[in-house]
Amino acid sequence: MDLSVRTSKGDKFLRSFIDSEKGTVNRELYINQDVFEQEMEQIYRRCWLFLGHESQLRNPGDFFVSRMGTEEVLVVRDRKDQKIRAFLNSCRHRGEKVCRYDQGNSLIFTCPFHAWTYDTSGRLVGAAGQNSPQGYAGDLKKEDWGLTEVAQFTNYYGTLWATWDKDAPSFEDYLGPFAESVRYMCEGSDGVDNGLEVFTPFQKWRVPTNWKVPAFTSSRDPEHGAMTHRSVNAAAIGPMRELQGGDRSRKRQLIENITYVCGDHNLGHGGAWTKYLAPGIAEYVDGWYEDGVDDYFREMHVKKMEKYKDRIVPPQGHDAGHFCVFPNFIMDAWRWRIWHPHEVGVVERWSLFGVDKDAPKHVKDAVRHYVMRYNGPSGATESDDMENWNYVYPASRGAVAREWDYNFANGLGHGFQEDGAPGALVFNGNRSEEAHRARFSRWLAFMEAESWDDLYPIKSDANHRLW
Amino acid sequence: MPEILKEYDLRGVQGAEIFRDLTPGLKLLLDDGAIGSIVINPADGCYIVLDFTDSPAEAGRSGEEEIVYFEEVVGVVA
Ligand code: FES
Ligand SMILES: [Fe+2]
Repeated sequence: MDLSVRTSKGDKFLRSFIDSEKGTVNRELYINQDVFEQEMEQIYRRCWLFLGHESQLRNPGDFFVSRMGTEEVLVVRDRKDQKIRAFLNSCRHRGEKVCRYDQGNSLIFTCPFHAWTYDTSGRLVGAAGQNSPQGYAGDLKKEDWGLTEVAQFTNYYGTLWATWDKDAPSFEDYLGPFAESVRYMCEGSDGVDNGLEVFTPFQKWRVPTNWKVPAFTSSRDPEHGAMTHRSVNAAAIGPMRELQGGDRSRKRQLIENITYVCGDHNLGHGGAWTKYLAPGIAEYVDGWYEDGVDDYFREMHVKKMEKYKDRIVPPQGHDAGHFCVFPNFIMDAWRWRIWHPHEVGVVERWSLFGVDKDAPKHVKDAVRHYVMRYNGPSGATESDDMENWNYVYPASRGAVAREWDYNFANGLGHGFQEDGAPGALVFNGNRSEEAHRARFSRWLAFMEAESWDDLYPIKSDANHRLW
Repeated sequence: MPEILKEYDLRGVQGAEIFRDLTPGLKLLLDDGAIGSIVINPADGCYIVLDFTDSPAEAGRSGEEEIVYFEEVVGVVA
């Protein structure tokens, strides 16, 4: 399907905004209202999207409100069967927001408008006037008016995901070669699956920029780190502790490897990719200021080394950096970043931080303090990033500025695919923009697709690689 | 007709607060004549969860628990 969008210079085909020969993307794709509306329809209604973590819902009746694109969803653990489900946070009567709290525990969800009331499995269990002879007089068929449930939901090693599209592939197929990395990043520091909990409440804030600025291109964007984070790295309060990657980087080098930036042009995921050439995990390297924290992690690390002694760790494992799960989730071994679009020029960022669920309090406290020093609007490192994200949008959207293209040509023409590898997983130099280009290959495929039938992995011979 | 306890004036100006603070175990009379005892009060001033299993004759209602809207509640009974 050739999609066109309305611009100030007339209607144009979406495809015309990307020049795969030159490696450019026109700014219109970031600032155009029509593009944004179509993204919500074509991408956010179809993709698997991250909702949160199961540790936010320990007890029956626990809930939190999350987002899928511009829409809110209520994620709740049922009081009776204890299953977690996700529903559109919009009353079936006249659309009021049913739950107006970020998180909590509830027996029922009563709409504040006319008191339609839903239980923790989403069923309508009451409505004002339901039995009154002057009202519904018993005619309201409650079984037909439950909350709108997502089409598919999964709990993947503790992380919760959903899609509105019943025809979307399974979540594992959706992740493709990145599935084992997602699993790995949910391990505790002792290597046990689903070993984490997240700190709550977590940081949420809005950034006046298009969602694709940070979501598509902050993983992996190696060239920004040297410039944007130079001052914080000089102060040695970032995770690097010192310039040139510090101990964290040295630890990775203890196991022979090649580092790439990679992007899967059929799936849209990608970022850092370290190909380890030998099995095992390197020795623990001390790095904490607080007493007793290294002792704890060293002990856990021994268990993890035992688990992996004969195995090659996944490509994003072993502190090897982050990657994006298309379209808006960036995953790292210790922080998960989600970008929720609100409007064409407003995105809301959530930062979730994992910590071993069984760690002692002094360890959890140290990790939490580290997270606060480093991340979010008050953190020393991310406030650097935010200046860039903030100013990109206004500097790109004026009548003159919008005519120009963004340059995504770093490494263009140097990518390679491994012999016999499935799909369109492209490797490139570890300072290239291969992952960004893969995002746009997938973006265009979604925007032009009529349904999941047009989209890999349903169609195994598809090749969406644009460049 | 069971006696309605005067100390719980659910229809007066303080009705919403009194309803919000009703404690589990109290018995409520509904406008269709059913009586159920409070299982849980979510304290939202609007809804309450009742158990009708101990008064099946009046109730004609099934299920272990039912969520009842305040407008249907006539009063607290002994
Ligand atoms: S909009 Fe929710 S009860 Fe009317
Ligand atoms: Fe950064």
